[in-house]
Amino acid sequence: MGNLASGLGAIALGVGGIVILFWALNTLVERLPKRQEERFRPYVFIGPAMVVVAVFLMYPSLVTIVDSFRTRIGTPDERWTLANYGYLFTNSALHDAFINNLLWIIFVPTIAVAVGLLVAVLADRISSTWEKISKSMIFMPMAISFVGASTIWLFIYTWRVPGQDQIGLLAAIAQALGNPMETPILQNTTLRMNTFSLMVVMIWLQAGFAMVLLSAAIKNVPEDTIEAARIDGASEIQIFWRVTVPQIRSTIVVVTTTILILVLKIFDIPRVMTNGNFNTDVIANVYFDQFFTARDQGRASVVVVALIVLTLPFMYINIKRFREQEAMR
Amino acid sequence: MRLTNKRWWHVLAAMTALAMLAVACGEDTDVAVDEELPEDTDLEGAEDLGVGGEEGSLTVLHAMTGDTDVAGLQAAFARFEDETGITIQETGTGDFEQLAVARVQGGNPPDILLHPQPGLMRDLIDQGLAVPQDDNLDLDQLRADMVDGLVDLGEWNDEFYGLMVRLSLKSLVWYVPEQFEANGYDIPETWEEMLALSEQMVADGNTPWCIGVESADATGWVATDWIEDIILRLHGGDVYDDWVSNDVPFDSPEVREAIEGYMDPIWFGDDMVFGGPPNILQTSFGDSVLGLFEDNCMMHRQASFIAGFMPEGTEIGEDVDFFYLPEIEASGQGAPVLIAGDLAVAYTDNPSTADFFQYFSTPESGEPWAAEGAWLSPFVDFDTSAYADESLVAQGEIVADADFARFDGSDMMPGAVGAGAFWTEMVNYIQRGGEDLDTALANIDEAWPN
Repeated sequence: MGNLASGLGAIALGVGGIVILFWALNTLVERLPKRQEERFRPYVFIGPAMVVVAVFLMYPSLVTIVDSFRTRIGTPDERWTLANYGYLFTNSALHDAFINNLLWIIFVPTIAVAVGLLVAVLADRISSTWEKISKSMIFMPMAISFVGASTIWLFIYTWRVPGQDQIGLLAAIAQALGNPMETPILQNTTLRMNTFSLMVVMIWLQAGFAMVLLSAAIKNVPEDTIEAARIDGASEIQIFWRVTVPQIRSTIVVVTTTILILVLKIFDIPRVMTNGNFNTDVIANVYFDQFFTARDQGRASVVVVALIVLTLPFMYINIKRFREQEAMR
Repeated sequence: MRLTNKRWWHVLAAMTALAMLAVACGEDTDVAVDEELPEDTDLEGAEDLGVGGEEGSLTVLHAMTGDTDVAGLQAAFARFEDETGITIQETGTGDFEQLAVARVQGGNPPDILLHPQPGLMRDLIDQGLAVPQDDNLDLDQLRADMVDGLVDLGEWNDEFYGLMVRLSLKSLVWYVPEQFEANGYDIPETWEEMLALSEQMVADGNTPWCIGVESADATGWVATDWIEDIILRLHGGDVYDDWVSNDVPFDSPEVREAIEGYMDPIWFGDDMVFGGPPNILQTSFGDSVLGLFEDNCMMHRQASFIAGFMPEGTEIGEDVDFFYLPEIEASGQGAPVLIAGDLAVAYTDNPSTADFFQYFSTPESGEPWAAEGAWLSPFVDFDTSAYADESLVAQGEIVADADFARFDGSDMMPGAVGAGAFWTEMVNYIQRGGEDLDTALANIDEAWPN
């Protein structure tokens, strides 16, 4: 019972406290002369949010950047050093991880969106029941956790010595067809095939999300524009690329960006399926290993700093576009 | 837009429902553990383990997940609870290193950690997070009671922290006596004989070895065990110690000779290992021993705890047996043993931790564990009749008869090497089929912290 009471109490205090805080600040501001009131009011409402951002986002970011210049943190040996940056620029395993992340970023959003779009377009044209069934099937993986999906796909990729009973789906099919696999897929580094087989898991998870949003967007494309194109003699493919797609472009951008952000953080799938071995390592996994296994906070921090720096151009472009859109209003 | 009375009730109702849901899903603990962990981790056991208990109860985090190991641990703890009245809540996890760091550095440690590697213990001591036991225990008595060197293992910065609660013997080769008899094979007394036996097996159409290095986050540690055993036999205890402390780097003639001269012929020799390198990498260490029972291979080098992974009902001595991983005759260094174990270290001020240490510093404390099997006592005067079977007595004798003993090297190296680069570079080396040892050794050396 004590837990229930303290849980309720925490919620009441937390929510009630914030409400009271805003109400109190608002009342205070209302008491000021009219001109001051208008000037201070925005700060009153932005203030608490900014404090939270400063404490929970900016402060840790600053600490991380500072930590990237130190070594042996937390021990009496703590000191300043540039060795972490030396590690960043010279360690080939780390560079391989960066390249893997790049591949993930390039291929996963594009393929997931492509698959989602394809399914959305095709499902649109079949009967209503089948549309619902097929869409549900594509969407269902979204309910599965990353770790759960990794475990499922492990059973598809798993391998036993040729001639033995195969428990992995692909290996079993290959063996049944008389051409057993010589090496497991997950160990196959030719053209980074194993990284791509990991990407399949992520695409499988995210295609449903893309499909749902794109399907809604496609259904919103005015029927008359399509009719008009048909009358003008355009083929279905031309209609798709020249009429439908331009009109759903903003949705495509939103979906791609969302999946991209998810992919930037990719960790669970490589960790569970290959533990980052066989050249499938990704940055988040490197960070985790450096922080928890090697317990080298300096190196872990430098990896994060590199990631921040690499995302800065995208942030800049995003903010610039946002400002342009605001200016146009 | 003002909140009407009705809306306030809706909000309150929603909040209440949320609070009840949160409490229902959580455990009976004072503090929720989940906030301390980083996002997107797959760490098990985190939600089950509360913070350090108050006096009269203890929380213990350990790395044992095999059935027999856990049964033994629980049996020993059960008797502790009966005799002291202190309850123990224990959790085992395959992600021990990561979970332990998250808990201890996050500020809500379990009372006791059972460290399978001293490396993490030493790091946490350096950060001032562990509690020494010097005042609590009679260390002179302990030194006399325990196998030589084990008390020193638990010391760091001139204070005693880690009490060994389980010993495992690593220098064993498991085999099926029936297969050996059927083929007319003898137990090899030297490494040279063992290699010749392997080649004989290949000539007879059998596969000599089963090896598997997969182990989730710890994939690759099996290779490190082989290398440590070889270096001990090839170069002796002093060079081994220098290697562990990085006075002898990985990229050195000694290490190179050990790997290329003794490990490679077995690991990468034609038809020497069932399934070759791809299967070595793919098979988990616990599954690889099963090859002995499926007629896939004849020999399997592994520590004593592997008994807990064998098929149920396997009788050690009849269905399977072991022989001591033999010395290398040509080196003249003698017959050493490689050992490992779990060290109990306290991380809170809970007074019950003192009782724990006092209890487990007596030889009798291990008797319930011995009865379950796959466990060796760190005490010299342990009552061997308590062991579940004769094989453990025999293993104890191997430890006692050895010319010298050393603790698992990779366990003693810093985490970046012993739980990091050494493992991953070995995995890469195996995947290359034994090519390009230079890169592997250079990379491991580079991982040594400055």
